[in-house]
Amino acid sequence: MSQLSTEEQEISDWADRLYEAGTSKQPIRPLTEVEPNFTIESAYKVQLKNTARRVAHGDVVVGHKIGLTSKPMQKLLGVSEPDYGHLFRSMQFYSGNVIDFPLVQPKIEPEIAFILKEDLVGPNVTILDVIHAIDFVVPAIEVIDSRIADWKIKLPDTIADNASSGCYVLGTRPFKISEIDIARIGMVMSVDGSMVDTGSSAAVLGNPLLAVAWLANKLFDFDTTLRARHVVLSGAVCSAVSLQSGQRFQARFGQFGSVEGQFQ
Amino acid sequence: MNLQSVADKLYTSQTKVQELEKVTALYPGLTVDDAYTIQKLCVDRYLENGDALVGWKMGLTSKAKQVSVGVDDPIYGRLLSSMDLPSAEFSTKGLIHPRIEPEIAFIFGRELKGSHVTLRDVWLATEFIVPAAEVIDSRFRNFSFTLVDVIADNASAARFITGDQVYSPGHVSLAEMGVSLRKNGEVVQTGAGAAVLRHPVRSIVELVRMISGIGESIKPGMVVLTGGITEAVSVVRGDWIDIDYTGLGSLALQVR
Repeated sequence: MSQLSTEEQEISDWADRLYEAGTSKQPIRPLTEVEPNFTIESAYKVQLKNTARRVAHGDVVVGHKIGLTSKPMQKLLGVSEPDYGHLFRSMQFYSGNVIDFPLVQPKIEPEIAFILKEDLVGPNVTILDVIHAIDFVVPAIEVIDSRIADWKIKLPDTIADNASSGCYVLGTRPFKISEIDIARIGMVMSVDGSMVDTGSSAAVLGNPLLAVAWLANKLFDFDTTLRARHVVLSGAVCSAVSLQSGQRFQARFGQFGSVEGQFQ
Repeated sequence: MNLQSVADKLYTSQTKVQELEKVTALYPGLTVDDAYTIQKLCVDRYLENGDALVGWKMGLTSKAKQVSVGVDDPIYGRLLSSMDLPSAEFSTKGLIHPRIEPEIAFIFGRELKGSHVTLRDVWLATEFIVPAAEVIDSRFRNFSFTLVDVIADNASAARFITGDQVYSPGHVSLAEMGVSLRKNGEVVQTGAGAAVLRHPVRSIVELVRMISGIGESIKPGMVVLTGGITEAVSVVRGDWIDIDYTGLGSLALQVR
């Protein structure tokens, strides 16, 4: 067995624990509680370790998600920029599906999803570059989840845990970016027919296109890029809402359509 | 207990900018009906001094606010001419701890009354809708109150502004109309019209049903603020607020 440095060993151990927590559905204590000095850099390494593991098991990276895109969320975690996670083929559902994905303590968040037609390579990606690279836009609901007990997450905890991703549901009526006023999409979310929250796409850094540009530039630091046909979930349009199995959920975005699903 | 003396206390608090203890702490037996009577007696003092009733406001129209006060129903307050801001700025002078919330206002061309009013009746009587912002200001210490207190305090009404441009009532789907509020350039609140009782038009129905119980109505020319679409945002002198209403333009407010 090859000799790992202490840091590499630690990263590998945390990746194992988080992966195990997901498969056993037994959430673990926060990394930052056990290791108060756990860095953001190490946290992304943990995330990449488990990304490689899923790929080795046959799953495919089909895009990225952006988290912590609203001022209230950033203030809550004491950060000033978003974070990101990986989206896998196994996580993808479509509006109307029953969601049979294994989840620990899921919450739902309505989002705007972008599907790219060309690679988007940082650094210095601008809003105009993003507009050029977008094939189409669909409404989406992200099912976020945490392998950390009671969602007691700090920034390194959520980053290591693939930005608290679970799975996601895409709408099936695509729009061209020129058809919609992307920073002004109103949204009404319901659970089992009762309205639970409302929001606007302006909640995402003031404009979801800014979040995509941020992601493209951030990925440059990690030596990866956004690929043609990849999905980008740009960030929550309102606060996340906890859901139980059997519950139905719906997000209506006015003329931009709607997305719905039901937990198994 | 003398309801007039409670109304006088509130009038003094509102006009002299003095924080008050909760009236329910001073008079534990007050009912919701008493509270509405106090509200009217207090507003009558303004009217005696030359002010005018220009419309109504709805409060506690969101689930979140109803939960925070522990009620299932909205409340109403009275809008006075003196609360209507003539330009897109207001002074914190005369206010205790002001907060701003984005709303949709309905402007009426016909009278609307009766306990059996329907959604269709509301649309038929509505001449225009207009984006609006309300400055609320509880006269109670720390914005802390019970249902009875806030009703007596005119549903925290303080100031309001309506946009320059009006729209026909069917211009946009108000339930899914997005709203974003920026404070000093940063988006701090977003929401959609459905935050108001699933649709702002339902707020008007609730209002008319409530005020018809005391023989009141919405008169032609009146404005009604239907209720906050996002949480209220605290402001201090120097803040600037920009509110965007999808399809209905925007409002800017400078706090002096």
